[in-house]
Amino acid sequence: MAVYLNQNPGSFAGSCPAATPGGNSSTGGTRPVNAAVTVCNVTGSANAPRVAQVSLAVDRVAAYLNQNPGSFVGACPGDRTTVTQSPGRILGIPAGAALSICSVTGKAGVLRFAQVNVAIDRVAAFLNQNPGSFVGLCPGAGDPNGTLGNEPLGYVTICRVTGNVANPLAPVTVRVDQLEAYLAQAGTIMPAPTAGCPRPADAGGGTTEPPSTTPTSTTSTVTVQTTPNTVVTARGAGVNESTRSNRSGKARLKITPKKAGIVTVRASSGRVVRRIGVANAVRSGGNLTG
Amino acid sequence: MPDTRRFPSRSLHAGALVLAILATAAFWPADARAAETQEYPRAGLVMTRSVAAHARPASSSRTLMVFRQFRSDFRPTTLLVVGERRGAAGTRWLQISLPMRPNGRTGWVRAASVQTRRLTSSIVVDLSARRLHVLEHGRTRFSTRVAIGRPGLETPTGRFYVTATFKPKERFLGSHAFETSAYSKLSEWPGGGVVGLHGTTQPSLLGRRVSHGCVRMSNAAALVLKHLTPAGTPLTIVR
Repeated sequence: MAVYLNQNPGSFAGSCPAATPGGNSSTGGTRPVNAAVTVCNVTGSANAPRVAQVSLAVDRVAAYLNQNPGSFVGACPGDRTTVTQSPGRILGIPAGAALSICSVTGKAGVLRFAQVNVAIDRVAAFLNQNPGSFVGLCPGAGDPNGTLGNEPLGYVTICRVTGNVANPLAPVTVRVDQLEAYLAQAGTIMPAPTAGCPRPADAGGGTTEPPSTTPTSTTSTVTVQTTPNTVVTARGAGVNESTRSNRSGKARLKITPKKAGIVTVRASSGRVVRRIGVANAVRSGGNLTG
Repeated sequence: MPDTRRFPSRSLHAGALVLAILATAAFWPADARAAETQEYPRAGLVMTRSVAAHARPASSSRTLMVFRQFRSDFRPTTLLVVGERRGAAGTRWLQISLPMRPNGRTGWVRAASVQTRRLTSSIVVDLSARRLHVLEHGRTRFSTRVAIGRPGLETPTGRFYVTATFKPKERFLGSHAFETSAYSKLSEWPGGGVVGLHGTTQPSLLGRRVSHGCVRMSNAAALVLKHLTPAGTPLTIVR
């Protein structure tokens, strides 16, 4: 049902306010043909939204919502009227259910979307307090059957900036009212991709661990942190070693570089974990003026 | 007998300290000065294969220099980060000291490509007193007499940093050498004329203006510095 509602913004559980005569009786309601639904038409920018409350024939609501993104079923913010029919129920949806809502913040030019689950009895208040937000999937929200939609009510999973270069983004599920604090940190990804937060190696050929150096012809033990139980290899500068990481993801490699160069330590996925420079301790200082 | 004496903190040449502070204000940009009061300068390591230094904190600005993760001698490239700023799109940029001519130039790199670490020590070379001081947490840890650039090839003043340390093949460079981001007036030199801190085979010349711009010290002092000042250590040269 949740998927259906997500895919059909404006649809709702329960009987329709009206049914077209001669239509499919299985979807028919008990209300008169000319029943109207209150829709808040939202235009303008997020900072200066223009709202206009309209009443639509029920058979026009879906088309209207499709043609007017951001508009939603219900009273406009600031309007005293409410669409709540009774405590805990909106338009016939039972209490305890949740709706997936696209929370829209930011400026008109740089809109920020967050897919959030909101308890059904909070939907009207949420939409009123967040003009521009709407019931349904956010643009580019990805697979609704993935991690999105599995968060607790009122929470959203994002990739927060950790400040650690080795692991710069970490997933965290936060309350919707805490989002702004996270979004103030540039680089925050919202919502978290279903494939997980990007790692540094995913872009730019970066390593997850800082570069280090070791002298030639000296045996040293290199410990790297990677995914558990995977093969880790070290190649380059005359080194050709491999081992398997333990259950905690630690892998220890003994390397004895035979010549100057760079040893590249990779995880089984091909991801570069670390690069080690093999430098001669003694070198020419010919570039110094002396 | 090498001239390597350990000084208590109060014996730091007061003039050198004042000059170092004045030099900081004169050579570093305002942004860097503001940031320095918080946590900069810091040493940085390149985390990607290469990183471009831009004239401004924007990818569209001119590229001044490209740093590879490893230098040509396969030592990790070390940067000196002197400040940070947010770019137009909210991207974090780090202001770094550039090891290029003209001396004192700075550029901007993406923070995501650099891992920084806190610095505990710094080097101050007082050309007037012809002494080199190693400061740790603002207190003098070590001090020694040095030889500096001769007239016409004076050692440049300003804020620099140690880019690499190594045992030199050349005997006249002594027991240990430190490559810096400073460039001497001698431009027609292999490698561009990099100013170094190094030992010497002529300790009798220490305290004089005899070098091509490098700072020479006793071999014993150079070995002490090897342990106190790794690559990335800030270097302030004052007159």
